[in-house]
Amino acid sequence: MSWFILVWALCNLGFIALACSMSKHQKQIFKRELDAQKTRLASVIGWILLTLGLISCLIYQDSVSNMISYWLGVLSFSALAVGLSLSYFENHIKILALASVVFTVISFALIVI
Amino acid sequence: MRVDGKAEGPRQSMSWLHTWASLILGWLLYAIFVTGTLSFFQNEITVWMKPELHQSVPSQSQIQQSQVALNYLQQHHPNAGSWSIQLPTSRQNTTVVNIRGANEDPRARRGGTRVILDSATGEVLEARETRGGGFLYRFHFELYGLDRIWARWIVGIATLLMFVAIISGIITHKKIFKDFFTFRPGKGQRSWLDAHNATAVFALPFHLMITFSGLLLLLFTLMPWGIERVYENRGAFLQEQRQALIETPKQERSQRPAAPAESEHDPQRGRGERGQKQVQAAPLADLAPIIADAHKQWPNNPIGTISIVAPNTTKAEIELRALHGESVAHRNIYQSLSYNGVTGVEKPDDGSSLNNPSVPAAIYNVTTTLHEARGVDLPLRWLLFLSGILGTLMVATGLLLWCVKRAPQQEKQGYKSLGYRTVEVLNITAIIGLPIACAVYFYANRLIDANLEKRSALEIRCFFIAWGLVFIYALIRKHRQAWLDMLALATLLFAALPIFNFMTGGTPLWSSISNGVWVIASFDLAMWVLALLFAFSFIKVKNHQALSSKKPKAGKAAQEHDE
Amino acid sequence: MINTMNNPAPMDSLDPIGHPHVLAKKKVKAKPQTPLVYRLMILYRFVLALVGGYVLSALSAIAIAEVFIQQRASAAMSATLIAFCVYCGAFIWVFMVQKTLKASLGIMVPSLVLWLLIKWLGN
Repeated sequence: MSWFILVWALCNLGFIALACSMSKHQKQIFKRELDAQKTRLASVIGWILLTLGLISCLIYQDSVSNMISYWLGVLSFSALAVGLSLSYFENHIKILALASVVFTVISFALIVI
Repeated sequence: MRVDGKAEGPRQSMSWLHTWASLILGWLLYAIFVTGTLSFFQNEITVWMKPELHQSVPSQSQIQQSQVALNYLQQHHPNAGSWSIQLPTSRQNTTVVNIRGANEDPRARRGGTRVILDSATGEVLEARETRGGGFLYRFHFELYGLDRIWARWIVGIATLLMFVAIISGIITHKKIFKDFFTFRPGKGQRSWLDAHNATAVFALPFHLMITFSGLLLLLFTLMPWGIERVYENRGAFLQEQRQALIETPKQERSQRPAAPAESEHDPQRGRGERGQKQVQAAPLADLAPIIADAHKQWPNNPIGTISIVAPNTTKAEIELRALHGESVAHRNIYQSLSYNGVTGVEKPDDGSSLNNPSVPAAIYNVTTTLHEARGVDLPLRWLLFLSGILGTLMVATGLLLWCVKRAPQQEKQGYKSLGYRTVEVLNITAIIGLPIACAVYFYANRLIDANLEKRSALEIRCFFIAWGLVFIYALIRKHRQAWLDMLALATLLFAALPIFNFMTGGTPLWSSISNGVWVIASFDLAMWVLALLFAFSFIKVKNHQALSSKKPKAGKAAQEHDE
Repeated sequence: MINTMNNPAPMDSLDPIGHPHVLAKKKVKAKPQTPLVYRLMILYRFVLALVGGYVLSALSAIAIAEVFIQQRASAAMSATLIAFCVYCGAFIWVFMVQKTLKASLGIMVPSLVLWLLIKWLGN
């Protein structure tokens, strides 16, 4: 379960960052559009986080094909969580972001220890 | 496809195609999605439908589990030709043993006497005759009551249309990345469209995989031509496919796909013939150290099956097979270990190793193995199941969207066109009728006497009768009222099911949870989750103040639609 | 995107995603009768896509398998994988092109070519 939370939380953060790079969602989250540089940064961070999610899957001891499949599966549910949050809790997306950070740290700790 | 024949861009034509390709067999696709998603947990459904098996609570240790089986086998079948023990798992709470005679091929897929044991006491359990989850699984690709080839063709065409629908949907939804997280609740048709887009896009990798692999799994029916050009028959192709994955020094493998990897020291099959003359009795090696050794070699993979050939003789051999497959890229390959049945010593490795599959083989293997969730562990299975739910919602929202979109015009007309009414009625029949039929199937399982002959056919008949009744109800009732009534019925049926479970001989929920028998507990809990979903939808529909012809909501999509 | 959802329009030819200028072009009549010619054209295209597409994809499978027959298992599997993609692609293509004649030729001509190729390779 910890593995799922770790990957899911990382992908949540990744998708939130990617959302921050879209003008429509910037208006939702930051109440204004961000400049080009910040937009780019958000996009890059988003992709890096998603990749970290993939890497977390790969270091789990299982075959590559299984783990890529797993990652693709988790992506759906991260996207769902972020998508629903942006629709229903747009003012509270920061809460989801914060919660995801906490989940990441906790699940990572649980796995490493 | 414009009536006036004027030119239109790809986005419009694909939009048109998407609507109609999806609609013609949309209700069948919904049924395929529902039964397919349920099939990921067909074992659990089957176990629930055999309450006689609920009492079995396996111990946590595989050594103890195997001991229970061995005690039974030693006591009742000490001189069998071979034994096979399927240990209990998180998906099966009983222990299943298979006993074969001296001249029967221990590797054959069928045959032998199958006995189900209580995993704790070793008591023989006799379950009622039922198709269980297997009925839903078969329905998924072969429907029921139709000629097999016809049914596969119908499902195959539906799958192709699904594939066309996905690709045309992607072409149409060109703002796929810009609108990635868009969902606008409370805006009628727009919200339905968003729900449809969201469920489609979020699980897009899954949808592409499941649809394409659906075609591949039917390839011998739909598109055998390429293979037939190269090979004389299907068997030759399958064999070569499997052999390509395993690299052996001796190259003498010729196994059927389901058989465990053959022991390397036996170049020929038909072990029974070997050394028949001097078979003396000898005590069987203790299994405990063997199992412990296997656990060390397979830290992440529990033992699935233990096969013992020629037990209690000098020729005894023990083979362990892992529970989970090697990887989704290596279809149907399971790790195995062989031991001498008398000394308990592991047989030396034959030096065989796994080959990486070629690109086309890898595509086939990965997609079909994921589709069937074959040899896949629980986390991945759950992800597949939940993605299947998203897919089901995608189809449902699509079907409902078709009506919602045309509702204002129907309203304006003052009467409902035949086509519109057809879609309305079929929507109810499929979207809520099928779950009701499943619930009735489960009730029938308990209500029909356990000893009645051919009861499994009767259970299935109840399933179809219930489905037919929903259709008739949808025909005669006013549309909104029909939705409300059926949603209420579904809520009641699913909510009462776990209670009905323990009233009719199954393990009650508190017991299955406290004993950790999640096979049964998860089924009961899932029924309550469904009941909640239908209850929620019912409330939504009830509160929906709208144009009288505006489509009421159903299913989980409703919760995305705020009032 | 402009919300044009509430414009009523003839049912059968309605663009389901509600593309703005498609709807703008349509003059709304009270109860339009979709012409029989249109319905027949749709039916024809459907049959062309379903049956013609199948024939084309089956011939592709055989042709690919034949050309790469040395690779045996890979050839057989690739042929099948590609055939399914061809089927889907052909189906979509039939409905994407403007002229029905173009759609018909686009299925029949390649099919003929493949069939001839197979015959020639077979000898």
